[in-house]
Amino acid sequence: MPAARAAHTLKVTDTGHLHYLHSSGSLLLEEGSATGTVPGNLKVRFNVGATVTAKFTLYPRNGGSISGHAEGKLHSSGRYASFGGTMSVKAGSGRYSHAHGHGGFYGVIDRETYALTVQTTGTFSY
Amino acid sequence: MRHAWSLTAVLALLACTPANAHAAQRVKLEVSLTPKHLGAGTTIIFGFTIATTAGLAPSPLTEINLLYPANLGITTSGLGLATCSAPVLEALGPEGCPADSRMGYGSALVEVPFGPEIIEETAHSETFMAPVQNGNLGLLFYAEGPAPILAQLVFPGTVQPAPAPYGGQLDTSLPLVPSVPGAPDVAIVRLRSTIGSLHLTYYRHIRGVNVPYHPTGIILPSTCPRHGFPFAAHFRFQNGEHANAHTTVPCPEHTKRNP
Repeated sequence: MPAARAAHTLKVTDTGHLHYLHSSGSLLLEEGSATGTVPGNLKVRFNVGATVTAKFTLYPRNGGSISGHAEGKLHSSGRYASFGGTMSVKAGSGRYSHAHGHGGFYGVIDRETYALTVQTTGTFSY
Repeated sequence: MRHAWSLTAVLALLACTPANAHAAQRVKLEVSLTPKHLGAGTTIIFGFTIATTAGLAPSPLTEINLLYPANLGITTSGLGLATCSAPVLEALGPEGCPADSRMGYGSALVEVPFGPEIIEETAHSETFMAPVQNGNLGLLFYAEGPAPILAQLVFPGTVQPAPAPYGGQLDTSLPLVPSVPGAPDVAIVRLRSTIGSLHLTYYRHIRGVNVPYHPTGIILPSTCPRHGFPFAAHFRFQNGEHANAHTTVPCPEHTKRNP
């Protein structure tokens, strides 16, 4: 009989500093480190088109993974384009296998180097 | 928007009686990608021709929506690293805008009806990155015609989401350009323009020196859509008519295609 487990709920603020790995048209694959409530390694697949969409997976230092997606709009253009919108946590693995939640996401991309800084805030349970 | 009468226009008015008839418009859209290498930077060269069934001047164009394929990297292009504003462009012209805000250039052939005659004029155009408007990438267009209608126009466009198989659409509202009193407004009959790095020079500020470089351009995806890159355009005219046109840019030979 499986053991019962109490759900954990966290208010999260994490910031990721990502670097460019690969691109195809408007798609950018980036990875880097996340610091904040749930630190770890972050991989993000961005589509920077007429809107900004992202699929992300965070690999927390304490194991498992947290995945979700985000959607937003551009706030500014020029070399440093900022954007913002909402994000949802939809899945996870390991200790985060029941991860779900939502919040906001904001970021700035250097359009010359594709270096990306992204911040997420919100609440998620696991 | 600035207009001024040229001597030619005034003389033409004195010699002619105005005509204001317009016939139904037919539009042909042409698009090419230069160079056309998957995964690399390119320039979109697009153009259209507007003709009428009766051989009369078409009704003035008031709106164009140009739809471009999904996965085309406009924001990731490295183009428009600076922005230009409409007041600067109106006051100083293209020279007042940062070089790194240039997105493309082109020309338009317009028809100016003077009585029974239709006079043609070629206008030069340039495209600039503008500040974001309501979450949408903004562009500014500058067009200048020398004679018979001396006009300098600045008008905005925005990049909006579009349904599949398109990745976005460039929406532009064109201002009406009066010709002479009592005569129809100026009508565009042909346009050819670029969005991309072709013939553009940008500058990097390195150790106090501006170093010129050629920007990458709009990034093509690494795979090609099965039937090529689809483009479409919707046109709206002053007389209330609409016209649609579409075209496809074939995939480069011997390249990967999407299933």
